[in-house]
Amino acid sequence: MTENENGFEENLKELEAIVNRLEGADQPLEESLRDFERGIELVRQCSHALNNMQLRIEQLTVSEEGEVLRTPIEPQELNTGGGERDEPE
Amino acid sequence: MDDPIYSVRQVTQALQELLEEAVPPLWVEGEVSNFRASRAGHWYFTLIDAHAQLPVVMWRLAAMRNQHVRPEDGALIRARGELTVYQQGGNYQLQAERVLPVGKGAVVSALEHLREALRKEGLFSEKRKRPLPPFPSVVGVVTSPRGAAVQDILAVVGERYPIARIVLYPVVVQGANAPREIVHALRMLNLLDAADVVVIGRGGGSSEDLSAFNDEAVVRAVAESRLPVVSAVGHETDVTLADLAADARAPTPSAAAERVVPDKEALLNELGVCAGRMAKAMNRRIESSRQKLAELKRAVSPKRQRDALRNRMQRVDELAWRLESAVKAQALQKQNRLQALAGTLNALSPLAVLERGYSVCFDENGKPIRSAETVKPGDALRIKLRRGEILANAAAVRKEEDDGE
Repeated sequence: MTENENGFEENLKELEAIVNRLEGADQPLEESLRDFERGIELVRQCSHALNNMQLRIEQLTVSEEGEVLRTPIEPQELNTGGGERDEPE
Repeated sequence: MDDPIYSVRQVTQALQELLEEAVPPLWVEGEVSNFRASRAGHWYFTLIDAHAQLPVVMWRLAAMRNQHVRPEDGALIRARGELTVYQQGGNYQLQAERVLPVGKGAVVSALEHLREALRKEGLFSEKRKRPLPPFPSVVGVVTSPRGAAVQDILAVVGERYPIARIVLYPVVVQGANAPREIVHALRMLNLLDAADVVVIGRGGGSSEDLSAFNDEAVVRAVAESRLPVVSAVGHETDVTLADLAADARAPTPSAAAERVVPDKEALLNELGVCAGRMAKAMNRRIESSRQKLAELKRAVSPKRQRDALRNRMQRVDELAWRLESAVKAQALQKQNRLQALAGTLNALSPLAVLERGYSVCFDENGKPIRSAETVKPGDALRIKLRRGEILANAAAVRKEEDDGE
């Protein structure tokens, strides 16, 4: 279920294949150009994701009755958790 | 006044020697009272029971080694060490090397027992350990939502790999409910396939605080988890059974976060390297194509083109000439043959015979007469000459012997 969620790994794999093909140089120039353009686009996408994405956090609980509850939360919400800490620092 | 006079120091020293000689290191059990730790790290407290008290000192190194069982006032403990005399104070004390909470001994041996049993079962085997996914999309976290551990994990993952999503399954990590909640969380994450890798753990604490992670049910849940589990419990020195059963162990929650996600900086660097390699390969490709193009251009330079054209034209001319002469030759040959044939025909024509002075004789039916035998005297004959005909009657017939033909 979580596979391909962000596609980062797939993009990296595709990029690797492209780099290898380009360095192999056994393909027509036209195909190399297409590969090159796609490769640069992948580098751009991956870098953009790494630089600009914000960590998403979700709280998951399943009650004894089997009720699944998913709640998006902000890191600050955890920080200001009402003082009661159930473990020492 | 014959008795010798001793100094206070001599007496105290004698007592110390006596004590050390007479009493080997020993265990003393009692309740802790008036515990205090000095700034230098030494521990001082008094062991008491209903009838007596015994001062105890633990020097810094011993205190550090026993940090996980740091005594508290009112606790029943056992302390092991040797009896010494504190000369300046004029009293004796236990110089302790080890302390154990009472009952803890039983707990520790039960823990050892469980560890051994689970080891025999193969729960800690290296073969069971699965590799962690290199690029997890979702990182599951099973810990207290209010602890330091979750903050550390979020900070590290957010910094290193913000592409990931965190699924926090909140649990209490100590107390009677902790094992049940941790087991439930692990099972649910597996059941819902809610993460690619799971971090379980908590910050440091006393050995009692960490006990949920030595709970058999928790250890088994960790081992049974289909999702790879990274365990990070307490500080570096604490190793729990959950740590041993996990696919990977990290000394702290922050370190666990570092284990489960790749590092942004390294990835960006790698992407840069990829871009560089592609550009280099492409440049090489373009350069070689340019060279090939130059070769082709040279091959079709104007002079070369003209030369090529001339060559072609010359060749065409040559072919045309050859074609023409071939046609002519054939035509001539045909003409000659025609003349030859016409000559032959002429020679065979009966008219040519008449031309030479011969004549032909036909019977009255117009058939040529080839022999006298077919003619009777008186038959009408027609004689054809080169010019004109003669109509005649046979006066007589003279037959001739058929010899030559």
